[in-house]
Amino acid sequence: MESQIELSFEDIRGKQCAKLIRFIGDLDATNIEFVLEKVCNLINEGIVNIIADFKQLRYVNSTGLGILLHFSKTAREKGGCFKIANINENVYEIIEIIGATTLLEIYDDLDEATAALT
Amino acid sequence: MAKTEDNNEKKVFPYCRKISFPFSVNVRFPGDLDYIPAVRKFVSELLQVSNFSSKFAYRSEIIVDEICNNAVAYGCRTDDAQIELVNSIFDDRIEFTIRDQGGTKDNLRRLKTAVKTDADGKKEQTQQGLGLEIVRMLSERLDVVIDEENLTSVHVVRKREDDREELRPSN
Repeated sequence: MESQIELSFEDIRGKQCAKLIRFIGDLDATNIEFVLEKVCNLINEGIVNIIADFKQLRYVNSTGLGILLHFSKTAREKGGCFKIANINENVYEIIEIIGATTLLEIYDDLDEATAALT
Repeated sequence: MAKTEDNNEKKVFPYCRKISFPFSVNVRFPGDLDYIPAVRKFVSELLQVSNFSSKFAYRSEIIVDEICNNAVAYGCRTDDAQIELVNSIFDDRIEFTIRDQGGTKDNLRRLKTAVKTDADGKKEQTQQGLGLEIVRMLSERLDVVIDEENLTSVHVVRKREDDREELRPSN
């Protein structure tokens, strides 16, 4: 009965060591291990510049927020970044409540996030 | 199920034509994380068919998720532990009361610390503290009662959006 989350991975044209990850569904305590493993594997393989597309991410709770902060910290420690784009109003509100809007790199859309990649 | 002559109403609220407030719905489920998504989505749908906004339902879904996660993580000592969530729905608010088996002394101490720390306006860095911080921001009232037998009961009151101030993010 765990929540459904799908991750799809795409290369980002013209960018080295970079991937676009589309999050689809709900991110919560029932599926963070799956997400953690997939994203950490990517970072450990040297893909340290990540753009997360949240267009179809409906829901995130405190556990999910915890791993988003973890991804951001880990990517930065390895000289990369974890950027979030297309976030919906409800998910943004939760990030705002915990005061994490300044800790996460949030962009309005994919073009803006891609342009900010070094 | 009551029959209705109003087809539009039937499509929107097929099993809830007339709502009489207040009413209460109790949900009892095993102390396992895997049950929580179904519980929180049930509460969200219950609120929407009770004429609360989708925004209200979404925020309430988060409250239910956080208090259920806390109950599973800190209030279930045995494999057969059960959690009871009471949803009391009024025309102007919802009240959640969640009861669990009661945690170990260490867990209860951490819970008390998280609640007290949040109430004092300081940041609590644990996952438990983060969840309770979100619940506190999304609700008017959050009370945690631990009885003499260490049974834990969390009570949350949340009013309709129209009746409360806009959310203010914590700094």
